[in-house]
Amino acid sequence: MKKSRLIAALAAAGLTLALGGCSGDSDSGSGGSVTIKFAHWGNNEEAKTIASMIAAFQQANPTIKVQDNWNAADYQQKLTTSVAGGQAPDVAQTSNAFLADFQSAFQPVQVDPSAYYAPNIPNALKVGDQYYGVPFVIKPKVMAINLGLFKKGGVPAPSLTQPMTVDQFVATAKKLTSGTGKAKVYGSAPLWFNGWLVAEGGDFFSADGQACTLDTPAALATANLMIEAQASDGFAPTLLAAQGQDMFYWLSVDRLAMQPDFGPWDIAKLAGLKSGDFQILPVPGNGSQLEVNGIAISKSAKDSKLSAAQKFAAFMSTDDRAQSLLTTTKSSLGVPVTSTGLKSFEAAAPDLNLKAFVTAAGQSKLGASVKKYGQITGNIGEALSSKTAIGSGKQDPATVLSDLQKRCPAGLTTG
Amino acid sequence: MQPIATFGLIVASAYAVLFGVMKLATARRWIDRSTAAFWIFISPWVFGFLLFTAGPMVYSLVLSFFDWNLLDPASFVGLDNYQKAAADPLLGQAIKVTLLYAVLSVPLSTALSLAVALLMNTKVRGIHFFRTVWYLPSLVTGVAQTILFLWVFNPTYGLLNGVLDVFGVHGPAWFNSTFWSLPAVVLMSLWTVGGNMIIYLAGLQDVPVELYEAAEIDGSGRWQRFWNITLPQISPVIFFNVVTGLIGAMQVFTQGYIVTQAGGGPDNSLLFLVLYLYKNAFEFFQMGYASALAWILLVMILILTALVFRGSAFWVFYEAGRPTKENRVRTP
Repeated sequence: MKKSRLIAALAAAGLTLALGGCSGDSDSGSGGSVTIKFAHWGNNEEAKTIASMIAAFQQANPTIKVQDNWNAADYQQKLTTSVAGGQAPDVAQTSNAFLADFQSAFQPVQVDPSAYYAPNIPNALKVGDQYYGVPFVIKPKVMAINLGLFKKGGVPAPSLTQPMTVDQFVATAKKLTSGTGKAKVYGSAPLWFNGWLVAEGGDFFSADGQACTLDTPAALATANLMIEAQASDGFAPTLLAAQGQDMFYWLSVDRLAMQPDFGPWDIAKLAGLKSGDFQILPVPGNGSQLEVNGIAISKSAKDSKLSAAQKFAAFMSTDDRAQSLLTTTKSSLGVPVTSTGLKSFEAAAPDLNLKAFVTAAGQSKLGASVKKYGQITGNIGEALSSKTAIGSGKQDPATVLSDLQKRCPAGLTTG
Repeated sequence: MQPIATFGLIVASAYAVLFGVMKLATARRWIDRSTAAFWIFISPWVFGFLLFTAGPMVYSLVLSFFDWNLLDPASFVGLDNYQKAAADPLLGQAIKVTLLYAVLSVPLSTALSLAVALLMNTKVRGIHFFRTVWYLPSLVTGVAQTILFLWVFNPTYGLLNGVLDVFGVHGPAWFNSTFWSLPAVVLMSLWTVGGNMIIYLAGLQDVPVELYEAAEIDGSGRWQRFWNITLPQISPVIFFNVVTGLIGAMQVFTQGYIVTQAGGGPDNSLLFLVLYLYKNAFEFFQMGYASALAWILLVMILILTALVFRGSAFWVFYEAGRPTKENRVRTP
């Protein structure tokens, strides 16, 4: 009899627990309040910026609470597994670089292209004819320079508006390189294949995303320049010498004259250095590729959560209170996507030529939206580093690029 | 429904069924009360094993016959994943790297930890301090250990090449060299010999002193005593360490992952099998193929372990004498 009671008590406890869990959505509070989960990536600077934007949204919308789900690393992996596990965030930061991979996890969103100052901004978040993300920040690259080293080397500071040609950049970097061993001052940070390929006028994929374009003169020129830059008498540290090193720190302590892939997330840090010693210029050659980040809404977001998610996306994208926080003197994430946001952006660091970011945003190339973009470009970078003198290999870059072109997956899925 | 509620419901239901079955079984005298008590008390482990080990294993076996990227619905592909594995050159590289690591690290680690244990088994003043010092590095393992060694092996700023420089030797690029990256990881694995040393030390202290006394009276030297008494007496301990070390070496992941994330391991020179499995699952999102790789790894480990067990008949001695089929299974 006692055992029967025990069994009944256990079963009742289990059911109570289960029914308690079923009794309602714990994220939906009483009085019409709702909680949405927002997943995003980024370093400390970026996370601080997003936290301030979330705070601004919550202040403007007291009935909506945004649960900040910051992923410092492996964002795509974590997002994918959370979707697969039925725990998808209601809203998630997305990028034109991997939007095509997540199309089936996000729902189409309404975007008004006229709200943004460059057509590339909304177009970057389209897959087919549908928008799958509401743009809220862009991350164009510029070049940061150490003016003190230019003065010391007797090299005139380059134009703030006109990009250097690749040849001019190389000649300048060579002039600014001095010393040997651990005291060597480098003209440039290591060149990054993905970025410099665009500067040379190339790209990984054709405009329609249907083919790889690795056997082009631009790709070969990029690989050869990277090897030349890292030679013992070159103007950039080798990948080995740069391993584990912070190039921004090198720039700030006079070990580096130019950092040609300077991202907007370091603006606040650069502005914090001694005024007048550093400046921002356009990336040499044909510039860099445009990265547009948007707010995507999960397919699982419904009813009150969907409505809250849409409000959040709209606020982050077009509300001045959010856009003005994208870059401040305290933290930075990127460049605003609205014209009004640009005013506060440029005012955040008046001594720096932040207009270079805005110009780059309008002129940067928008690459094709390709599925498995990260995997394909990662494999290409790894192969070049392993097989050629860009890294530890000895093979001819032309042979390696030609081989990569042959192995590059056919039938790439475009957006 | 919240996951915790689902979990609670499953556990409560399972216990309700278990209690019901046990009550019925004891009432009808199918089992006695002590057997019922055994099953009830062992049940947390059984449920845990079914939910968190056996369940995922069966799931991964099923998944190995599907193509699934985690986001879109899975589609049945039969044996395609296994056929793909048979023709995958990267899998060949991963198996080569993993086996080479096991072949190099297990004997080296066994020999070094045994040598240290022998040293630490001597009766000298302050031996407890030395034992502690040897064991301490075992507390810094995994990610922390690998990050530490990224700096030790850094070709430009690293401690090791700095020391080699003092002697006029230009050190290699270690993790950034296709040739040296694996030896560097093997060297790194010796950092944790303190763990095995403790087990050997326990084994050494279990060897009856009378055996050494008798051998000394018979005029045997140190080497003879080591070869004819110590080694046979601790051979079951060596066997245990070799088997667990081999299984551990086949599953090595952290070192390869961290080093390649930091830009090392060029040309797939540190592409361990579990790392390749992880990449397929969580970087390339090919869960079906990754599951097939997991089962291939399981079969490889089973075969290698079986071979070591089979080979143990020739070198593992138990107190009952040279092992036979029976006492290999039922040790005294």
